[in-house]
Amino acid sequence: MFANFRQAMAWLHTWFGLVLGFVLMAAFFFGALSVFDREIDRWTVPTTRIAPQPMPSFEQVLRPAFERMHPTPEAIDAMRSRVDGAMPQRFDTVVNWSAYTTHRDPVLELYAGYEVPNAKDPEEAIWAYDTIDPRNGKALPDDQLKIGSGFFYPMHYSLTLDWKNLGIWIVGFSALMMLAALVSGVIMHRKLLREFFTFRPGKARLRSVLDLHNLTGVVALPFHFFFAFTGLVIFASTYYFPVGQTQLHGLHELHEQVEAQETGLPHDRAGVPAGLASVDAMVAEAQRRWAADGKAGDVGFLMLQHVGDANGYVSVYRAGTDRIALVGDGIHFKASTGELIRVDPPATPTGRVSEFLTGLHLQHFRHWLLRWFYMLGGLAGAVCIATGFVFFVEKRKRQHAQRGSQGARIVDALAVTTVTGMVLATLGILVANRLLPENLPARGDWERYVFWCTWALALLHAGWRSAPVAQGLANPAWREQCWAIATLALAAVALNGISTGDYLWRTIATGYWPVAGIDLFLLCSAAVACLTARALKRRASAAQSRIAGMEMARV
Amino acid sequence: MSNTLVVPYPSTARLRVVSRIAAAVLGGYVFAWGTVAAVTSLLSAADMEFHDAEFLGAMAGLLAYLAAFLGTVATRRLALAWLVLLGAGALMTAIGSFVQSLLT
Repeated sequence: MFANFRQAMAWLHTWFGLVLGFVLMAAFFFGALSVFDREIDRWTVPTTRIAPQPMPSFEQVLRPAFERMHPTPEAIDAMRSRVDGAMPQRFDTVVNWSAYTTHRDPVLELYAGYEVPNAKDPEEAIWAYDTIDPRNGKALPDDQLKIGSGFFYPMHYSLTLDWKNLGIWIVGFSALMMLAALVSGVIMHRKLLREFFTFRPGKARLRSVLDLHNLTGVVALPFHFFFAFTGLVIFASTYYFPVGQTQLHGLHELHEQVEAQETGLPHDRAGVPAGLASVDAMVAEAQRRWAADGKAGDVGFLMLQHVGDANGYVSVYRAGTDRIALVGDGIHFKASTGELIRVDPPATPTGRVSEFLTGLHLQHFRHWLLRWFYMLGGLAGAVCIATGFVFFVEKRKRQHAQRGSQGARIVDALAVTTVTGMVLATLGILVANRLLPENLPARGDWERYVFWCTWALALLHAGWRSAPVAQGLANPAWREQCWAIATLALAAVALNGISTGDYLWRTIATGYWPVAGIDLFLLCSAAVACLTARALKRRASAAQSRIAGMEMARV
Repeated sequence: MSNTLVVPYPSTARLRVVSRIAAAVLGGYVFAWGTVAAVTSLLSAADMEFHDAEFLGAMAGLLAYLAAFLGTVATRRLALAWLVLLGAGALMTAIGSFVQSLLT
């Protein structure tokens, strides 16, 4: 089919890059936004605009909050089909309580799992979730959509298509094709080093688009390769190759038994009620031990297993803010006495590689400059894919126009939707977040609808305005959607100030960067969109007058 | 290069493209699954901790998938690619189960 290997790679790069580029664009763009997911949460849930807090006292804050929790009626309904006989309405046996925070979280997320007496799978628990203010334990409205960590972040890895994990599979396959596109791209262009330094903005249109595609692809090549690969590794054993849960389930079980014996952490309840010693004292002891190892002592994750049972234990994990590797350094205590059961041993060499790779992708560490580089790397990936679309269209549209083919026109309309349309949808949900009434029932669902509707409108608009592409001209939708981006971005900043009083000058004056940073980023986006729209306008007028000139000459 | 493929080609050529993509995607997956199963089980047999073995198995599987995918797209002998991917995939999967039966 192909004369040589390079031709095969070019074919692969072109066609798989085109089809899966639409997915990759979303993965890169929402991945870049997820770098600041907690900050976006602050912008979108104004009641939580406070400084990050450490893990609070268990006895004073967490325990009363945990004891208040109970599965929602929706969770109970959802569980109904996985139970033999009647569904219990109360759940009193706590499998575990846990609390999770990071150095960027002013709010604390609580999770509680309860035993379901007649569940078909006796291991399955029913879950309750809560978000509290760690300063006083007051419950915060948990039904408000945390748009950063609860919507943009899942968009990044699953497109929020939860049915049968379809989204995770689509994104995973696209990540594999990203790797294939990078390898094939390198094989197609052997003059890698030269392309690193080549950008000819003034040259012919096609050449400068291709330069930018190569530049953003090559400059960030290690970044792109690394993120696509580690993203796959993070999900591989759970979703893509669940070998340990299926074919090699026996080996996995064997390991669990050995591990339970080695660690001394009971797998099951004893069935004997028991009290709870001071958890704060256990946390203090864990911090003393970390400090003795020269490690920062913030608690990231606290878990009580088999609550109220003689087999109960408390696990304290460190927040890995001081190193790249995603480490827990877990320390475990007997719940009833506070006696130390186990200190997790240092990871094996393989374990350290795994912790490093996942840590580098998920970035729990505290390093703001690196955090910005992640964001820029993600946006460079988005630019690389966007210029790939533009190159595909520019290369073909005149040919297609002569043949009367609609191919370039369709691809171009889809590219408009994926590039500017996606930004519009993102701005749409932010604007909706500030416009919808505060106590609207199912407010989060409405916000999501606005997101998808804005995106659908962008698609309709791009299709409706696409006719010039079939004549070898540019689609004016690019330009018009740039203006829409500028308008919505400015509107979002203004609405944030009007609805919360947190005007940009105030947030800057008080140094509240989570909100000030997002407002500034929105203003920059508006400026870039304006400049782009004006440049496109100039180019379109030049093309118009050239055609007019040609027609004049013919007359 | 890719321009030649924009021209509509006859149905047998189109069928070959579909077969090639199917071999790369599905055959590649079978091959990758086999790699994961074989590497995970063999490393476990060599006394490595299970989750470490699982992690290295997954890494090997992903790289195997990538290599198989690129190779299958480029190969001149598509039938051979199908044979190798499915055959080696099945063989390595069987090795995984066999090693597990020895250990458990």
